[in-house]
Parts: sequence; structure tokens; C-alpha cells
Amino acid sequence: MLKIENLHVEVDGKEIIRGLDLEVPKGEVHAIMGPNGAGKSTLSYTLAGRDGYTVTDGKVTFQGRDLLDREPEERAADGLFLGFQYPVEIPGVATLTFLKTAVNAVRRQRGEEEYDAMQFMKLVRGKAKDLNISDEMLKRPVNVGFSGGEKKRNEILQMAVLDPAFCLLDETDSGLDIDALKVVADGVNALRGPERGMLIITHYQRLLDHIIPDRVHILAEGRIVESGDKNLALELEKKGYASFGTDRAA
Amino acid sequence: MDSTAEILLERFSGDADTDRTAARDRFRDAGLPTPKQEAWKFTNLRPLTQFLDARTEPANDSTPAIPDTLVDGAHRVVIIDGRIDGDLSDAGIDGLSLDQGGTLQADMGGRRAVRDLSIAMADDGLRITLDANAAPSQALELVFIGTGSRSGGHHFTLEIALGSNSALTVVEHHLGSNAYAATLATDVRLADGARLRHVKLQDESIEAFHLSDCAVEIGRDASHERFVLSVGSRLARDEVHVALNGQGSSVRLLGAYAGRGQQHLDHTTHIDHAVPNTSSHEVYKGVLDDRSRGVFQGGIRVMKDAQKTAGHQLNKALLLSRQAEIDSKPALEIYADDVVCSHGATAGEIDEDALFYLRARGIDAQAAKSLLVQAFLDEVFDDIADEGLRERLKDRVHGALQVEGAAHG
Ligand SMILES: Nc1ncnc2c1ncn2[C@@H]1O[C@H](COP(=O)(O)OP(=O)(O)OP(=O)(O)O)[C@@H](O)[C@H]1O
Ligand SMILES: [Mg+2]
Repeated sequence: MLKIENLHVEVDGKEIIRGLDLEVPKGEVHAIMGPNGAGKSTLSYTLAGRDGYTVTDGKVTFQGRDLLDREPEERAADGLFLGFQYPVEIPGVATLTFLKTAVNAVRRQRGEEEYDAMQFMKLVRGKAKDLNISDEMLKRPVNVGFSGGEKKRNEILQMAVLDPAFCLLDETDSGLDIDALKVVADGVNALRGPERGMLIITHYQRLLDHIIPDRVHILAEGRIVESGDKNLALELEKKGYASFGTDRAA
Repeated sequence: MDSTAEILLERFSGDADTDRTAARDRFRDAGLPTPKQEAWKFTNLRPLTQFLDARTEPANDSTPAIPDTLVDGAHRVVIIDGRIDGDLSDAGIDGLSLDQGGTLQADMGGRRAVRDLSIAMADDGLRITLDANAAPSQALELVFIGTGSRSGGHHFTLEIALGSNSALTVVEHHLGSNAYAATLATDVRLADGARLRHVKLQDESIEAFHLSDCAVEIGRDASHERFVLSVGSRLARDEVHVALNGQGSSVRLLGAYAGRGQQHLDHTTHIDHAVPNTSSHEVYKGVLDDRSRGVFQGGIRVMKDAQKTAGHQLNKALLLSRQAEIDSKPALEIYADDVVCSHGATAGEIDEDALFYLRARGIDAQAAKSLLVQAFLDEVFDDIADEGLRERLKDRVHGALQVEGAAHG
């Protein structure tokens, strides 16, 4: 469903992703682990289409179609969702307004009918409740004054409401307390299905206790240096990154 | 004597009114201000000259469309090309008297070119007086329409005098089509305990000039709230001078503007805290696109005796294009020692992180931009108590910016 071949990405003239290959078939959940600065967030921003992330070589196909020539909003409409490592605060834009604008923008691009206020509220209330997000939070400006954990839950709420075909989660577990981790993991697991793919970036095995991955990849110095099943994460926890060839030529 | 002054003289030779004569003389002696003068450093009126010449052929001849009122149920006075149209006006509000004509006192101390020009050349005027203790529930709406069918510009004088402990909402709606110059001089006098809400929508034709000078005197425990939204005109200046003359008096000046194309939008304010225990609060926010230019000049002066003054001023501009520009000049003169005054000015671009976040959620670049622009401006509108009015003004500014966006592709 998502296929990355020999991807090279530069940021500010510096090569960060250096020949990365990865394939996530539909119905599977893959995890990426890797040391700080390895290029995990760079990969997610590149996939989501952020300006300033220049692809100098390689190819990415999403659902059989070239992803890289699509605008960020088109990628979202195609069903790619990025849960941000650092969700952005947007003063002055109420969370509800934002969610409604987003969900209807996506529906419009997909040729589906837009939700009216009633349908939308029903959808959001249900999902928000599952994620312990209060009405009061929904009225606040997007992520403004949200705690770290609340921001991450808000990402999962957006994901649930947008109902994407593919979820790319960049350290959604960072900053979550144990209960919130469970809530978020449940939110993610609820979306797991035979038609959906997921790529989960994390530093911690504990998230993978809740969301059991089909494959685990280690990303270091801009490429995948090791892939395996869920046991790779356990092994990593014990041995650290050093044993996985991260000291390969820079 | 410059050419504009000559034109003026020709038009009004033989006028007996002393205030008008005084204004005319002052204007004749000084001519149109130039950027050499400190108060006009950022705004050049030279292109205005031809529009003030009554000898030029009018650009066209059109019948104006009268817009709906901005406030539901407002009574209104319609002023077309500087003249009150009695047939279109309906202003029967209890306790309120309206007198046509009249003029204003020209000399306010210091040089006030727009004021002199309006008074000297006024085609018509309106005096609004509200009885003490009256507080009509209906708003009074003044609709100024420019049609471009009269050369020489349209000039009007307005006087608003509120009796003690009275309260009134006055709305100004300026609009039009084609090219013309419109000037307006306004005097506002609030007696003790009076409250005036003044809302102005400057939505003139994009080919027009709009120049207004408003002088406000606020008595003891009286309060004034003024909101201006500027979206129209090729060149506009909205100048307000407030004198907080009574203890316990307060003023709130709020402004929003949206410039595009080659528009030049100038907001100039001056607040005098003359006595103890007065407060002023000022927020202006503007969005500038294309090659448009914004000017904000904000003077606050706290006199020696004006202890316990609170004065806050904030001016923020959002620049949507590299060619857009804002000139911001706050000027605080404080002669008292027990005061709390602050001012801040910022100019920035759209937050790229926020823009990407919105786009990553499926909102296209244009819609995302306009969402962020709305968020930036909306706060200024919160003060407008009348919900219908608030929403109409918001729609107007967002509409103006959206049309612009569509043109960008
Ligand atoms: N604008 C930039 N200019 C130069 N280098 C950059 C820029 N942005 C990111 N980098 C570098 O790219 C590398 C990869 O960063 P990235 O954020 O992708 O790492 P990461 O794997 O997500 O790390 P973490 O686990 O800390 O989130 C880092 O060394 C970072 O300093
Ligand atoms: Mg990262």
C-alpha cells in the first residue's frame, strides 16, 4: 500500500534520508525505531509533503500512485494521515471548527457529501468520548494550552474523525502517561483493519506491547538498517542501537 | 499657494461662514500635506489633487444601489456624494435630533489638513444630538455612497453630541463605485457619563480616496468605543484624536484592515490623557497582501496631572506577500509618573508550521491561509456587541481576502 524505494531527502542542503527502502502492505502495522536524529520525522514530513524536504532521488508510491507529486492536502484526501511528533498550536482557530473544516475538505476531495453540523457533532462527540477528550477541550483553540498528552490524544481524535487509509504516527506515545498510552493504543487498535496500513514511529517497546506490530524496522542514519518481527523491538531494548550497524559509514 | 488651494478658493469665494473661512484660509496657506511633514511621513496625498478639482469631467454617471443596514432595525441617513438624501433617510429616534448642515470648529490646534479640507469644502453636514439620559435601542446608521458622478470630491461634516448619561450606537458605512475623493470631518462630544459606540466600515470603491478626521472629547465617567474596519479605497486615512478630558473617562479604539492590490491604508490615532484616572485601550490588526501598504501611527500623551492613567496600545500586521509593507510608529509621551502604559507592534508572516498542519489535514492551501488570517483578525471583532453587525463585518473582511486569494490561483 505504501512503497518507498531508494529515497533520498535533503533538508537545507543536508542529506538526511539516504537511500531508504520500505514497504507496508495493506492490513499490516509496521513500527520504526531509531536513535534521535536518525531521520524518522524527516521521513514522516517528506511523506506528508512538507515544503523544504527535497527529494533528490527515489520513489514513493501510495495505493499504486506516485505520492511525491501530490500536494499535502491531496495526500490527506488520498487517505494518508500523519500524527505529528510535535502537534502545532493554532491560536484563534477552535478545535471543532478545525476538525469540521478538515473532515469536510477531505470528504469534498473524495467526492463524498459534506457533513452537516448535526452529523459532524455526533461523529466527534462519540470519538472524543472514547479518547477522554472533553467538550471544553474541543472548544479551545487547536492545541493551545493543551498538555503534551492532550495534544497527542487530539492527534488520535483527528485521525479517528478523518478515517484515513494509512496512519503514520510519529512518536504519538511520547509524553503520554500510562493511562493515556492505553487510551491512545486502544484508539489506534480500533482503526486496525484489513484495508488499512500503519507505520508507527516510536522509541519505546511499551507502545508495541499494546499495538503489536507485524514488522519492526530500525532506521539509522537515514536508512533502514535492520528489519524483523516484533521480537526485534525486544532485542533492541536489551542491546541498544549500537549493535545494529548505526556506526556504518556516514 | 498650491494648485489645490487655488481650486478651493475658486469654489468657495464669497462664503461667509467664519469657521469655513478659517479652515479655507488655513488650508490655502498650507496646501495639501506632503511626506515632509511628520504626521504625513508615510502617506502621500499628491495623487488626490486631480480628484479635488471641480473643473474636471465626472468619471461617469450612475445610480447608487442602497445597501441593507449593517445593524438590524437601524434607522438611517443616506448621504450620496456628500449630500444627504432626505427621501432615503429615516431617522426618527426618540430623544435624538438630527439637523442638516452646520459646520465644525476648524482650529483644533496643530495642523489638521483633512479636517480643514472637509470643513472648507463641505457639501453638506449633519448634527446629531442626543438628549441627556436617552438610550435609544435602535442604532443610527450613516450610509455614505460615492458614485463618481460628481467631480471635485465629496466633503461632509458630522457632529455627534451626547447629553449626560445618554448612550448611542452610531454606524458609518462608506461605500461606492468608480473614482472619487471623499472626505469627512467629525466632532464627537460626550458629556459626563455618556456612552458612544461608534462602528465604521470603510468599504469605498477600490478607485476612491477616503480621508477622515475625527475629534473626540470625552467627559467625566463617559466612555467611547470605536471600531473601524477598512477594506476599501486605493488610499485611505482614518485619523482619530481623542481627548480624555473628564476623570473616570475611557476610550477603546479597535481597528481591522485588509489591504490588497496597491491599496494604501493609514490609521492614525492620538490619545490625550488630560486628567487623572482615565484609561485607553487600543488594538489595530491588519492583513496586507500583494503590494498593499499599511500605516499605523499611534500617539498617546499623558499630561502632567494625569496620574493613574492606564494606556495600552497594540498594533499587529500580517504580511501575506513579500511586497506588502507596514509602517508602524507608536509615540508615547508621558509627563505623569503614576501611570501604566504599554505599547507593542509586530509584523509577521503566516505561520508556516500552522499552514502545513492544516494542509496535512486536507485543508487546501488557500482555505488554510484564510482560516489563519481569520483567526488573526477575529479577536478585534470580539468587542462588537451586536452579533449581526459583528458577523456582517467579519464576512466582509473575509470575503475581501478570499476574492483576493482566488485571484492568486
Ligand atoms: N532544517 C534543518 N537543517 C539541517 N538539519 C536538519 C534540519 N531539520 C532537521 N535536521 C537534521 O536532520 C536530522 C534528522 O532529524 P529528524 O527530526 O528526522 O530526526 P528523528 O529521527 O525524528 O529524531 P527524534 O527521535 O529526536 O525525533 C537531525 O540530525 C536534524 O538535526
Ligand atoms: Mg522525530
